[in-house]
Amino acid sequence: MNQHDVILECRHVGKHFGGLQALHDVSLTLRRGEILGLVGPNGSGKTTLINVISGYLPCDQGQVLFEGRVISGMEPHKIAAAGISRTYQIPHPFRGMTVLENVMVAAQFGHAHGRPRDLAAYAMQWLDFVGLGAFAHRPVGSLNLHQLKFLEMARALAARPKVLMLDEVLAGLNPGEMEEGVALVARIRDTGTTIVMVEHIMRAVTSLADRVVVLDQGKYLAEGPPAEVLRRPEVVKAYLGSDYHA
Amino acid sequence: MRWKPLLAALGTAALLAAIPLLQRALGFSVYYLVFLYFIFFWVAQATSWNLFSGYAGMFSFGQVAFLGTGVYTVAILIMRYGWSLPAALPVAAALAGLLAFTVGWIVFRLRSLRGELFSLFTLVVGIGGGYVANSTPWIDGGQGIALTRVGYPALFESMTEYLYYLGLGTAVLAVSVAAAIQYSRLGRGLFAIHDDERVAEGLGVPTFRYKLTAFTINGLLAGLSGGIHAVQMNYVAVDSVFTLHFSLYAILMSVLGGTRHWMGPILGALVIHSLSDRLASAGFSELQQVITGSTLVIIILFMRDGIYGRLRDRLQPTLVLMAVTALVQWLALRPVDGLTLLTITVFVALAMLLLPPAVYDRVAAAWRPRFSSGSGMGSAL
Amino acid sequence: MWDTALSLIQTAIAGVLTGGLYTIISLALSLSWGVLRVINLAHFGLVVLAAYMTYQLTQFGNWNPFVTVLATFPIFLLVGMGLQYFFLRFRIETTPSLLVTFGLFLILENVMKMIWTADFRRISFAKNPYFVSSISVGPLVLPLLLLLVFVVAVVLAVAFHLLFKKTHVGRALRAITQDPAVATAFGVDYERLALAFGGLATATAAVAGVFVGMIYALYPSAAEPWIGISFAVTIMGGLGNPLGALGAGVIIGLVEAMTQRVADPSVARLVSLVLLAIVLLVRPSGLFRPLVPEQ
Repeated sequence: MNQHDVILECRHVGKHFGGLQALHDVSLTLRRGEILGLVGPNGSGKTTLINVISGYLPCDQGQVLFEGRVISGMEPHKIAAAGISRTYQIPHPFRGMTVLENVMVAAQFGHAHGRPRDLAAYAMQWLDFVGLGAFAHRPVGSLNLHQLKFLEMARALAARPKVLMLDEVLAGLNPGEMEEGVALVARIRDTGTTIVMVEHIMRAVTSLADRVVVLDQGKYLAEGPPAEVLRRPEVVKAYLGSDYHA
Repeated sequence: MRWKPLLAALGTAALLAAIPLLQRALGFSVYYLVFLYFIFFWVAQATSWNLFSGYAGMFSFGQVAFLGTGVYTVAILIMRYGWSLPAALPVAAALAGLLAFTVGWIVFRLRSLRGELFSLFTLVVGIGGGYVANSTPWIDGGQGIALTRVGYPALFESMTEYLYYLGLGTAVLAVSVAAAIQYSRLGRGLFAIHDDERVAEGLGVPTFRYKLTAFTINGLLAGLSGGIHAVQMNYVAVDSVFTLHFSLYAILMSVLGGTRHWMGPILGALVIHSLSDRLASAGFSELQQVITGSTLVIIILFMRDGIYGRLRDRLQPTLVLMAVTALVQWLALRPVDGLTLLTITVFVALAMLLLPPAVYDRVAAAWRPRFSSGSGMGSAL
Repeated sequence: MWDTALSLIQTAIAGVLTGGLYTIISLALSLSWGVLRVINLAHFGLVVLAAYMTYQLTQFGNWNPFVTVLATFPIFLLVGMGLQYFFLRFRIETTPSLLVTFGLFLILENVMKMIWTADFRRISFAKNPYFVSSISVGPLVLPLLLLLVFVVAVVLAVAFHLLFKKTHVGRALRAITQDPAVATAFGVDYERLALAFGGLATATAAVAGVFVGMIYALYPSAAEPWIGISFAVTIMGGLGNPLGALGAGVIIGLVEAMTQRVADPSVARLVSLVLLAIVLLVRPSGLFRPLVPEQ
């Protein structure tokens, strides 16, 4: 593997909450421009890993490196400014603002190349990109779940991240909305953003991800091309007893 | 940036600056100047509170600590060390700002003090300030400080006039700062923190730095305003300075007016103070506090966003109603005390703003069929 | 030297016993905050109101002061249920409840001022002989009222503790504290439980009022010094933890009493605030565990 390709790296990352070891010796690499699927049964530590990488939680052991620099231990807003964005499993829009204003916050504080001079117009571009342009001046409360998830993505994108981490962005969507979501993620990758996708919906993972890393009970289990990895006996066994969508 | 409200405010400030000159020429009661001074004082207090607590959504109950620091700094510097007021005021502001900075530094570093625990901690600082002042003889020691022989520049005709202009200047300063913050990067960050601090941080908002900055500005302005107020109070004592009510009124005025806009605290100060002044002068101070408490309850229950938003939507009808009310009082109740006229007018306007949207729309529709051209009921035909 | 030691022990015991009073006053705050997630500032006003009622009944109705609780307890039970209904109906969460109840406190304080004026009111010694009574235990002299307050505090704290840990109702209460939505899904009638518990918590104001009425001179803003202490007891004891509240009350009473020996009375008042500030900074979940640990 060419070292220049690695944009994000976790080295022996560990995290515990009281007695519970949420992450144990997790190491993985993320290559520039790829879509990496992060999968595993419920409770395997996927969201915890996202929280650690984004800086919201400090890691107890190990390190996270971004473009060769150690970022574990940095304040979350500095990590965001460096070029890492994330969405949330349950959307967390800013409820006191309009849809457009939500995106403007991200544009103003994110990693955007230079400070965009017309903030509103710039933010509008990203709303159009995800298809929410018509809702720009509506209050956030008037959006449904699918729209809120897309707003999360628009917001994360307006910060112009180098790495975008999507946390179960397709969960709770009906099949039609899910098709739109998958297409959108592909479009995001085409703009040059590297993506980490935490997902339970295997169909989406197999169609989008270049590689997949499997976590189980906080430990690294396997990695490789999605179709192949998801058929491995130890991976199937980890999922046995919990539902997954084929 | 919305220019109209800002121009209206600046125009009003210019008019207000002319009033003492009018008083000199026309000779009406000096009490009007005192009344307006108190409006300026509360505008400064509520605005300084709001630009942190209202914008960022972390309700500080410790406003009185900043006010008290300002009051006592000026009282001590003037009476014990012979300083002049203009020299003492910056120190008062700086000390209050330092207090805010210190408390903020400690509290914001700890993620655990969110929400109501933050409010509680600031409440403790507020109450504690009073106890410290009371037990430290060098500060107060239970004696109080009388501000006698405070001079004012020959330019002004009286101490009342001097305080009027100082108060006006401070209020204008506070409002300008609040407006500047509202439309700045700092403001956008604070509003994001208000809605969801964790997400804001994840988007790159430097939450610690922003909160600390706004909180320190809160302290600076409140201390400055408090320093001036020491002279107004004339006799400064722990019981009258470190009361919970100062903190409460700043909060109430901002919440009533609307916490997301610099105009909110101004509206709230106008409404609350005119009511409390009129009722207190009439001897009904308990009733006044009952009404104040009830207002707080009603606002929290039914209009948590405050009246500013509704004022903007119902501006013309409200202004018309106010003009009519004032005129009716002038004609029917002559001679009428100017302040009572103002208060009643303000209250009629408030009643209009408190009407729930459903009721208001019906009333407005009944009044306006002639004026709507392509909208509303006309176009249905 | 023996005298000093004796006097020290005397002070310490007085402090501990006073802590009992602090506990009773703070219990409602802790319980409603910990279980119902509502910060009821009006409670302080209610304690003073209850004390005024005890005063009226004793001074003018010739009731025995202790017996007045039979009248005041049901009244405050209803008041508490009314308040809780109000919080539920308007869906008031924790931070707005702080403001709303502050407004209610203001109203209450001034209504009391209108009825009883700002003059100090005290039950006369003739009607309240207990005020000067004391019990001798060996060389120690213990004021009767303080002793009783402490006993009642222990009884109340243990009663609520047993309610939470040993009864079916208590389990349901802990469930709704942890997660109202999930508890409801399991068949717990949140509303009915909240109303009953809210009423019960507020009714403790009646008990506190009896003792406050008998020990202190009353004036409308008598509640204000209690605010700092009550928050200190509530936070230190852990939200919703009745035994914790007892422990915290005792600690604060003790530290305050010992401080008073060596310093100004006003410094002693600072004690509870300093302790509260330290706890908030270092261990906001409380010295003792809250009823339901934070997620």
